[in-house]
Amino acid sequence: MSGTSGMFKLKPFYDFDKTQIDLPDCMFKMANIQGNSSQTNSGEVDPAVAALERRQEAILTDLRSMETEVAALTTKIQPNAQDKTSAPSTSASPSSSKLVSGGLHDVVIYANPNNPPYSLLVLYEQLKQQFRCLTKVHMHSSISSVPDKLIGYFNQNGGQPLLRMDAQLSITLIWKNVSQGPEMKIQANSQTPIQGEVNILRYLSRLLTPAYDASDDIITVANIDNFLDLASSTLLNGTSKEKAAGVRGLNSALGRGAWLVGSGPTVADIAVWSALHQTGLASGAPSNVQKWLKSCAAQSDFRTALNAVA
Amino acid sequence: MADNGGNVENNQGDAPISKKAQKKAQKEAEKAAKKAERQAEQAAEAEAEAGDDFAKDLYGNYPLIQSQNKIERKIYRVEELTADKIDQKVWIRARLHTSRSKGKQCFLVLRQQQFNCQGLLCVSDKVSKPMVKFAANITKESIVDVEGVIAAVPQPIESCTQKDVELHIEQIFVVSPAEPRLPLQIDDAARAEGKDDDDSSLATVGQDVRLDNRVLDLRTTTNQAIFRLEAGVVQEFRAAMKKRDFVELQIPKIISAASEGGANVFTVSYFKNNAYLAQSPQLYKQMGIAADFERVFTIGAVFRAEDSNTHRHLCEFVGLDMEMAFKYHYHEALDVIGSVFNDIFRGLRDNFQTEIQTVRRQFPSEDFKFLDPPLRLEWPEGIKMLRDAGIEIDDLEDLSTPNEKFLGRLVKEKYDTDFYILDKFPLCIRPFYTMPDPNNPQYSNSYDCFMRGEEIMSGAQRVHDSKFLLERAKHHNIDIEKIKAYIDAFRYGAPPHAGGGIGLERVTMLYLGLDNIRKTSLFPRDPKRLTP
Repeated sequence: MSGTSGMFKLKPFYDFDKTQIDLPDCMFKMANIQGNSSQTNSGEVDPAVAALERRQEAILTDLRSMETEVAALTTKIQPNAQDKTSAPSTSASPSSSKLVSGGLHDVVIYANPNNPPYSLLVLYEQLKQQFRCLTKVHMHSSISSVPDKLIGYFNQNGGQPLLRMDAQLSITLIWKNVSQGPEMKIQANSQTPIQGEVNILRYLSRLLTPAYDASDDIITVANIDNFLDLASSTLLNGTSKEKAAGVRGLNSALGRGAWLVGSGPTVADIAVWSALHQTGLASGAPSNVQKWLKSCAAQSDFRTALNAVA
Repeated sequence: MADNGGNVENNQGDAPISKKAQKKAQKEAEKAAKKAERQAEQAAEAEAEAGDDFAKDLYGNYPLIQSQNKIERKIYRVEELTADKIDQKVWIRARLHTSRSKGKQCFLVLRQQQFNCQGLLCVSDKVSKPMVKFAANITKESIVDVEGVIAAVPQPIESCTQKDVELHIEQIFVVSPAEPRLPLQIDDAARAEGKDDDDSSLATVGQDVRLDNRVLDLRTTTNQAIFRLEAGVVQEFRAAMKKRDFVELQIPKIISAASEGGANVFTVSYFKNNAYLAQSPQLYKQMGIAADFERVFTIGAVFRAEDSNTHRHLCEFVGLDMEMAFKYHYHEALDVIGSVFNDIFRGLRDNFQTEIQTVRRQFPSEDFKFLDPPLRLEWPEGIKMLRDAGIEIDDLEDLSTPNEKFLGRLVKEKYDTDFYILDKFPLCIRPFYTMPDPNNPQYSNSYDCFMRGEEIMSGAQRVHDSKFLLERAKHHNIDIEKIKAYIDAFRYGAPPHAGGGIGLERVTMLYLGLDNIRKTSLFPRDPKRLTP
């Protein structure tokens, strides 16, 4: 072969590709069963397979790019190994470190002036310990007036007010006619509003302790969640019968310990405390609950919040 | 009758006589005769009626009112025709909006400013047939005096503002007739927008036709409401200023040097030299501060020779400007500005609901939402919000119009407010007299206010120290000679001060959610329009 190709090339006498051969078309057409027919066939028969193959390739490249992206991110963020082990279930992103890293984190909360979320006050006192906190209270134009007490809702403790750009966390409270309980917005365009007081509490307490629901044993977490649900679905939104039953349950739970969960106040205490004060159930509560309310009032953060309640 | 008959006979004589033709001609002649008879009867009837029309003193054209008589007559307003006055006989003076006659009845729509009502003329023992005919022939837009009895209607009249009553007319006089051909129909000009799909066959009136015939256009209920609301903005602004002890100053409009920049200034000849029309009262109100008025405001025309034909630029507009001395921090002034805005918004919300609703019938919009105290964000926050939403923008880059609007949408989404203040603008995008931020030299003590995502006011703490002002001016390569008077004003001590200016037309436009500033300027001036 090499010998012949080394001499010269010979043009074919007949170029079948170019010459027009008039095939008779009087009868019917038949597919070519010889030659390259098999090749074209495979190309025609398998478009589905080919598409599948293309899709697989695309997915694979996507996965690969995602892998490199994640790798790049890990080098940048360097996730804490401890965080990972202690918080296996939730994403528990180190949001507190995000807050520390700079930029103002503005949390907007809409609340109805008829049902002020008192829990916010307690949590604000706690957040203030950890972050440079800023609060702003506004009244929405859809309501005509709110009591002065609600305009000066947060305890400012006097002193030089923080510059907005120096603050890490800002709570913007807007009094508005929201019907489904308080509403929270952080990233308006990429987030659906978080509704309900206890859900806002869940978010804010995760700011305090990013791995809050995984730090202790799973039972404590479940217990806290149980009381948060009690506060929201029974005490705040239940019928009067359900409310009474809820308070009775609370009473028996507080018979077992001074605090709702564990040996000290938790977010569960804050939520239930706020719910009792909002609904006016606090005044006629049974003895164990009364005792617990008193020990709440002895805590400094609850005490400042109590000023707004009174 | 006789004439016609003669003609027919002549024809007959000329035509070749055949039986068929004869018959035909006879028939025609009969027809014509009948027709003529009928006409004559009608004419006679009309004549008879005109002769002894029992109602002939109850309608007609007034002679030109030259103040011949002083008639003591209580004239009601159309808006006063309400269900509690049923069976009362009232006079009103209004424009004939439309009329529609149907046999022995004639329906009129009578319009007065934002309000209209239905009037009905019906042949009866008080109303004669010629009177109905006369009423039906009054040209649209004529001014009429009408007396009638207020009556309840079985079904509310949806096309009128006075839905529950109609006026049974007993007297009607034309005070000032309109020409029969109108350059635009008021109904077309007032047609609601945004319903194009179902009534695309109905005419609408283009912006230019409206502005060419502005007097007619302004008669629409919508325009009546828009300009009442605009007057309301001025009124609320003045009230808010008065409440806070601001002094109103009258500031010259012809000035010797371009006050800002110089590219977009109108030149006028001033004896042997040139002078300029003021682009803003900025420098003069600051001089007012240096002259110890402490808190000043001014309302007046401002001129910009910007050759831009956008929906929000005018060559002449009304500026509401204020400036105040503060003690230690410019946020003292910013708080005042914010509360002034809120006073205006609250005043409009509480006192101009009728006007707002009237405008909305033609240009639907959502309620204007605001927070009290107003939301105040800082520049880096705004940039961060934009970046989080995927916009690429530098820290110190000025906001482009789309970004500005987008940021407005983001803020609305998160804070549910149409009004907000953006504080701490980068120094490099503000004029030379802006005070730099003490903590970060890249930023400045300046702010913009936004309504529905569009800038309506920009202001700042001004440099009140003449040496520092000179330094800033040099930094911006400004010809010191031209602004000498301005710099001199601060040489003999001036209090720290801040302020800002609002465009009246823009505020009205954005408050009502309108799409073009020409809708809120009585006789707009733009690069293409100087008349009317």
